[in-house]
Amino acid sequence: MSFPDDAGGTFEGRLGCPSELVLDRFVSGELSERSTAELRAHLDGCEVCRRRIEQRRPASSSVPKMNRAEMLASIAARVSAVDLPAEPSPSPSLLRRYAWLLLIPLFAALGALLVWSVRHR
Amino acid sequence: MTTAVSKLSVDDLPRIFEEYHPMVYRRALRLLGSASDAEDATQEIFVRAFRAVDRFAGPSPAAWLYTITTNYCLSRLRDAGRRRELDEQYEPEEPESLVQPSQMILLRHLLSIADEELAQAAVCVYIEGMSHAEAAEVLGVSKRTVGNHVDRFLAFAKAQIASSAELAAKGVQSLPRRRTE
Repeated sequence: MSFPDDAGGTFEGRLGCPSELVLDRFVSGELSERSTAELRAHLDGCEVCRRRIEQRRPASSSVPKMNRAEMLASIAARVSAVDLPAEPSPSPSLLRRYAWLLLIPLFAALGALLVWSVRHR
Repeated sequence: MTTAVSKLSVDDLPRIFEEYHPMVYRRALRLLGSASDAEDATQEIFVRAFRAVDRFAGPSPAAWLYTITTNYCLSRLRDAGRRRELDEQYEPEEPESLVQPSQMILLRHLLSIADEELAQAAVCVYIEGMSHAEAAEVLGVSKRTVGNHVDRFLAFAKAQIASSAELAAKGVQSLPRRRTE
């Protein structure tokens, strides 16, 4: 068994055919107008690549056994599970949380003043 | 239909998943060789992609997902190779496919034991059919680096095949035992 320099037998296209990424970007509408025109010209003369494009059409690119809605829900839950703890906590700062403690010495002083004033009346 | 974008957020997950999950599944199936592994991989790849969605800098969601898919699947291949559970199956997606199962199984084995950066370049060039310039863009390295990595992968592949043939002649099995069920 050998591994040829041009890696024939491991790529869906022929030598000189556009890459898998170019075809995927074409189907997803990511290619520029110029690249799209070049690809269309290639497709006109290449049956292999026309077939590769057909494999990517929604009708023929069904993913076996995969429940898409279930999978998307699972992905979203796992992504959110990480996002939530990473978000800044909305809890109040220590100062705001314990500000009421500052009132204790104030009330204690007022109480002492009240007791002192009653006794010396 | 999705056009090139400069930024994505978690809110884009449903739209991007709907548009690109067949592509991710197809690429994972090609690399891993098993439908159930490819399904698991598709889910894991979208989780990883959208946990780090802030790192997407555009313009192509397809190229971004290709990189994540390649890295994740190579990691799975290396793990399977270490556990000696590399799948020996390869089912062409259609009867007229130009891909030869024996070549694909051999390449999968070589990818599982090659250096990571050599394997990444080999996937782009040998499986995805990218030019060195296109692979350089996807991998974020120079065109020259891609050429260097591909040459080194080829030399590594030839050495592995030669040594494996020598050892096989002596009755020693040098390649990891592969899953055949």
